[in-house]
Parts: sequence; C-alpha cells; structure tokens
Amino acid sequence: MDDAALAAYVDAAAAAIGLTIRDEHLDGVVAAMQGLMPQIRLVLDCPLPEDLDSAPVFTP
Amino acid sequence: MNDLATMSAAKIAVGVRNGTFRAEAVLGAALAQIHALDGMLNCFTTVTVETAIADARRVDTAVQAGRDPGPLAGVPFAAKNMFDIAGIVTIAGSRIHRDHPPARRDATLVARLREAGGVLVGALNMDEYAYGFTTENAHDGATRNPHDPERSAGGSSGGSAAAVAAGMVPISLGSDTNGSIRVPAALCGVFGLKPTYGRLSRAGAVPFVGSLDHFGPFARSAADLALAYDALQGRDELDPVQANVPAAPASPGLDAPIDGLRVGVLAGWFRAGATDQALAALDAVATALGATGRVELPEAERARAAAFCITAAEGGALHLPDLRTRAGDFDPATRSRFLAGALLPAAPLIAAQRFRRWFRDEVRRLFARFDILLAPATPCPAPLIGQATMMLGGVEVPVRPNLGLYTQPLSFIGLPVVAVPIRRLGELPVGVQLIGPAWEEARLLRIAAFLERAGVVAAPVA
Repeated sequence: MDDAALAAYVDAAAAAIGLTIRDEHLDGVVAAMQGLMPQIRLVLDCPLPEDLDSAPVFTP
Repeated sequence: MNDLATMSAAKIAVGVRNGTFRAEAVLGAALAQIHALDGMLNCFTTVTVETAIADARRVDTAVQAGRDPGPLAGVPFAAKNMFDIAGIVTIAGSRIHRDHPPARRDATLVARLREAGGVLVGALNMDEYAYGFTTENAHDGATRNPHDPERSAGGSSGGSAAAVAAGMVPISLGSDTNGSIRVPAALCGVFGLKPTYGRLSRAGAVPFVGSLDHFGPFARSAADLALAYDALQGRDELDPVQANVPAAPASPGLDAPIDGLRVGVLAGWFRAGATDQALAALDAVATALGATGRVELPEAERARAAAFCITAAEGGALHLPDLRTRAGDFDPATRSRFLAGALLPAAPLIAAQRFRRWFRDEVRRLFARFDILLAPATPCPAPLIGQATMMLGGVEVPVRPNLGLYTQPLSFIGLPVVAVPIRRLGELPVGVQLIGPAWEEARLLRIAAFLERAGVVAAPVA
C-alpha cells in the first residue's frame, strides 16, 4: 500500500475505534504502519494447519 | 572508588552476614557511587535514600540480634521504573503515569529481593512503556553507556544494565518483551537473565505486551545473577500468567561440571548482518563449549515478524484510552508505533498467536538434539546516542528495531536466555545468548559460570 492508501486506512480504522489522529501525528503513524506491513505479510503468508490452536489457552 | 561499592552481591552478603561490615556502610558506598556517576550516566529516575537506609538498618539489626538476614543481606539493588515501589509513582518511563498515585506496595519481585535482605536504592530509566531498544527517553533523557558515555546503554532496561555496569549496584531488575534485558546487558557488558515465560511473577509491574512480557535480573557475575534469580523465584497468586512449576534454584549447582553438553550454534537469521565483533564473541563461546556445529532455527524471520505484530497490537490496545485523550503526552519515539498498533486488524494478531504454537513445537524438536543453543545478543556493539541508522551486512538499516534482530524470535516463544558479556581490549562489549529449553535457567547459569571461570566472559566494572 502506498502512503496515501495507508493514510486513508489509518483515518477510517481510527474513526472505527473512537481514536482521533492529530494532523501532526499522521505522518508518523503512516510510517509506523509501513514498517508493520512487511511483518503483517510475513505472518499472514504462513500456511498453518487449520486445527492449529492459538498459543494462549484460556483455562476456565 | 570504594571497594564496597563494586563488590559482588555474594561477597557483600557474606560480609554483612558474618559482621565484617555493615549493610549501612555498603549502602553508603552505593549511594556515593550513584552520586558520583549518575549525573553523567542518567541511570536513576528516583533514588530512595530514606527507605534504603531503613532497609539497611533492618538488616544490620537482624545480624546483631543473631537472626538470619537473608541470602542477599545488605545487597543494594535497583529496579526499572515500571516496577511498583511502595510510596513512589511508577512512571514506566512515561509522562502520563506521573499523574498516577504512588504505589501502595512493592511489586512482587521487588518485595522478594527486599525480603531476602536486599536494599532497594531506587528506580531506573527505561524507554517509555518498555517500547524501545535504546533508552533514549524524551521525558527523562538518555541513559549513557558506562563504557562510552557517547553511546547508548541499550534498552528498554538501559538504566538497569548501565547501573550494574557502572558499579552503582551489583544487582538490578529489568523486563524483556522482545530483548529488553538481553540487548542492554550486551551493550553494557553485564550478565542478564530472561527467564522462561511464566517463571517469575509479573505482579505489580506495569505491563507492555501480556503475551510476551518477562522480568529478570542483571548482575556482573553468573553467581550474582543466580543469587538474585533464586531469591526471585516462587509462586505468586497475584500473577495469573505465572506457570505452576516448582522453583528450581540455580546457585547450588552453579559449579557443577558441564561435561557432555550438546551445543548448537544458530545459523542463518542469527548470523546475517552480524558484525565481525559479534561473530568473534560467538565463536569464542562456541569454542569454549565445544560446539558441534551450526543449526538452523526454522522460520526465525517469521517469528520476529509475529512478535512485532503481537507487540504492536497488544501495546496499542493497552494504551488506547490514553492514545484517545492525550496522545501528545507520549514520547515521540513510541507514540506513532502505539497508534499504529492500535489500528492493526485482528487477522495478523491471531495468525501470529497460532504461528507461535507451531514455532514453539519446532524449536522443542531442536532441543531433543541440543542442550543449549548459541546466538549473538545483538548484531553490533552500542551505537551512538541519537544514531538513526547503521550498516548491517552492507545494508543501511534503522538502529532502533534492528538491535533486537536476534532476541525477538526467542522471547516470542518464551525460552530462557542468559546474555553473557565479552569485551576484548580496546573494544566495546558485546553479548552472546545462551538459549535453553523451557525451565532450564539453572543449566544456562551453570554454563555461564563455566565460561566465566574459563575466562571467556566477564563483566568488570566499566
């Protein structure tokens, strides 16, 4: 995603959780999102067996 | 420099217990050292003089009355300022937490060291909310490396590592979510222990990433590290994450032989980009331990990526209320990343947690073939304070995230790691990670003690 597309995502996702990103903070947030994107892709591109449980297990 | 100020914790405890010197004298020496050096190094955010004097007098009174003052009798220690200390505000490196009321009681690990006779002398500087590897804190200033004050102490437990390296205290407490004990231990040339995830209580310490947070000690010798670690162990009902495993004291077997050890040196991800100095330190440890060969940790890069996602999402979500109302009060070094993390979609977080189980199982298989694995702690020695980028493997990369290249994949699955320090003449210190299977901290400390006796690793006062 380019910076403009990410900035649009940041605005929309922030609004959805009641968060206002100040104008002076937006570039930094977009840069941080850009830093996360390769990590997100690496994680999502990993083929995992469907029956693999999440690491944290809740004990009632 | 007063000898009492730079004496090992073990020797202090013996001397105080047998009446050779008083805890109050040891404290006086520590406070003098802090007074002399902290203006330059900026390790402490609070020095707790009054409670320290009370602690020391309590120890001296116990000795005089013939009572057992504990295994850490009169040993000065300090804690990263995310640990609750009764009566002072737990700032966690932030401006925002300065508005919180003072802690009503000590964090469990602080209390354990005091109950063992330790004398708490203060709270130590850190990256805001532990989200960083350099301890360049916008509110409290940068902690400077005692080996070269122009350079970073590492982080986020930079104050904890630097205070020990400078001889202000023999023992300190820090936290490690992605490398925050091992990175500063390496850059400041001291020993650091990141125990197994769930081994030590986290109660009373400000969280950062619940899925990955660990707490542990720093020291200038393996024996002192073991002494502190043993005092910190034990079940704590206040921590729901703590594992139900029995305490496994490390000190009693510290000098036992390590014959027959199967040692693997991590290759691939854990060598790529490492400087010659980091690899030379690794080779020195590998040779001393008779390492049999290199081994790949599969998907280490993806493990680091998953740790990144979990860190961003959990950290961002934790601080969302403050991000909504007072984002401007965050340190600029953390604000953007917390905001971005709060906006991370759920799918990568959940995938990261599923991958975590897969990766853990893969590494467990590796430990059927090896008793210990080795890797550099950082790719390079301490960067300059304020340095934005560095060259790794011929590529210019940002300093801050890349100091944790080799630590993040390991804390991701909660393995115990001891960072051991190596400093060659004329060089800055670097560290090597001794990595064990879960719950084998005592084994790692025994190996660290062997390396120290062999003269391969050492942490003299800077």
